[in-house]
Amino acid sequence: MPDTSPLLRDWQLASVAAIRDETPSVRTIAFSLPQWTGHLAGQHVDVRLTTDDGYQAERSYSLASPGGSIALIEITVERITDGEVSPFLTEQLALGDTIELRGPLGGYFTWSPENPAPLMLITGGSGIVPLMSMLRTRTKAFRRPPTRLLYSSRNFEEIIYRSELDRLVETKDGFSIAHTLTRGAPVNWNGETRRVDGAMLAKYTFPAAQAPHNFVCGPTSFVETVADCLVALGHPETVIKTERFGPTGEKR
Amino acid sequence: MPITRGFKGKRSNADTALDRIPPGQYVTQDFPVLTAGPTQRTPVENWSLTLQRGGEKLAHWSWEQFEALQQTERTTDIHCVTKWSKFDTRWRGVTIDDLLKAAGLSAPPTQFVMAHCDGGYTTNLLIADLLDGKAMIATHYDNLPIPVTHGGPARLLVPHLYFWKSAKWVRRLEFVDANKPGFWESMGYHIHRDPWCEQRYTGDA
Amino acid sequence: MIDDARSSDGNAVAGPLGRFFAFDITRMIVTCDACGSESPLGALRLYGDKMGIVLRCVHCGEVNLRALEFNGALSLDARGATRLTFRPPVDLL
Repeated sequence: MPDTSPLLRDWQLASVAAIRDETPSVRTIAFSLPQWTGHLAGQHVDVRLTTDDGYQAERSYSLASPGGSIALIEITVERITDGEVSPFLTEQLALGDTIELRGPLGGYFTWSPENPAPLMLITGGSGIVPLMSMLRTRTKAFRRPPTRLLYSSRNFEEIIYRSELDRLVETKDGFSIAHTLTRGAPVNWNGETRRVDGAMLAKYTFPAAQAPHNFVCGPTSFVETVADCLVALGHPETVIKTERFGPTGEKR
Repeated sequence: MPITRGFKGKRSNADTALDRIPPGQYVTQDFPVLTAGPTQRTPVENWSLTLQRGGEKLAHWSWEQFEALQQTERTTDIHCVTKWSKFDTRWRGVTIDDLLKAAGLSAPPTQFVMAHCDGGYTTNLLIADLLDGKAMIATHYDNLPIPVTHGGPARLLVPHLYFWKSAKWVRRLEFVDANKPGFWESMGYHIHRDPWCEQRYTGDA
Repeated sequence: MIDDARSSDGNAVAGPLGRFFAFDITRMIVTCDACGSESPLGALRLYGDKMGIVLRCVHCGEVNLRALEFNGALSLDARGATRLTFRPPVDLL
């Protein structure tokens, strides 16, 4: 696994090469960079914004692109109401603009196709982004382990990457999805309609006996609930990897 | 450093009397929550405040006893070392002067205090920074009980110093003989910490 | 860093703290001095916001690591960790 070299951990200027809205509040931004030699699925980048009087804000965003991408990289950003950075990235950043970017970063929450274990992905909301990188990486690989995604969204319109996920299922290469919607479902919905809980996890995850590797990403309380349930279902902690988005429960 | 076109951030010094802002700060209308650990949620029936020296308890108040002490209201600006300032914040609580009086202490037993909080946070203070109305144990912000995320049920308030000294979830004031560093001070934040002298880090003048 | 959409675990320090290290620190295994449990640094609970980096044990909540950067220098306090173990990446995880 390539470890990040010091050069790649410096700030560089990334140019906005493409913009694509995924849902009404979620936007994918593609960047081209002077120096990028690839990344592992699950890694992230830091971005840094500077005002004209020198104030700086930094944030981390997971890479959505498949591992190994060289030419362009993508992040997918959810607009947080009253946020400082996400409204700027999702509403004002335009084609050709540049921002400072550092990465790829992080080797803990990563997956690569050399790993033959069944792959279990569990997420809520914008936590899907690093897991989508894993799925896109898997699609490009020769060896594709059995993979399941359990994906919680507020409603149908807010399912990020919905069409692409449907297409991945249609390739019938051992990938399946269970969706759950927590705030209302369309008329013909045949997915789940509640928050992820122990019963849902027992139903949709690989049994511990199959020794899957589990990746859980989302808001802190979601991740903690899911991780605790997976342990209760018999999965060793060493095969449960977590990435928490959002503050540790507090609101401002 | 490259400027990001169109990025404004969430703060503004426009329309602000510049002599109210210490050097390097910007004014915010928000009240940012910064924390070194999970929010502490001590119910008032389990809450108490203690003054101690060494192993000796000098004074101890339950919540009811504490609320019955002389209350003081104060409107003041606050300054965080992470560069935000907030003007005209309104607090109510018990000044440290009144606390010492209620404890029967005509003079503070030492020159230095370590504040201890639920969750383990600590900060060290000079007694001179706590007396003469400079500091209080605050229980109300904007006329309402301080929310737990902002340090409720009670926090230290020492607004002439950077706000990390206004320790949230304070439970114990320990009089000590030497000025030993607390949680952030031991990481290099300046032992004295005056925003108007811009003393943020050890090594600043 | 840290605010909206922030990561509240050690994954987020890969940039700000990790840039001082030659290896990827989020994979470093931290042994908690208070309770003895072991976790990768990326899984630890992150606090401190712009004051500094505070990484706490996911099992007992005690502080394992604190880090602060100023004037370009990194200060690292690892008193809350009995041991920090890094295994170079030859495995699949």
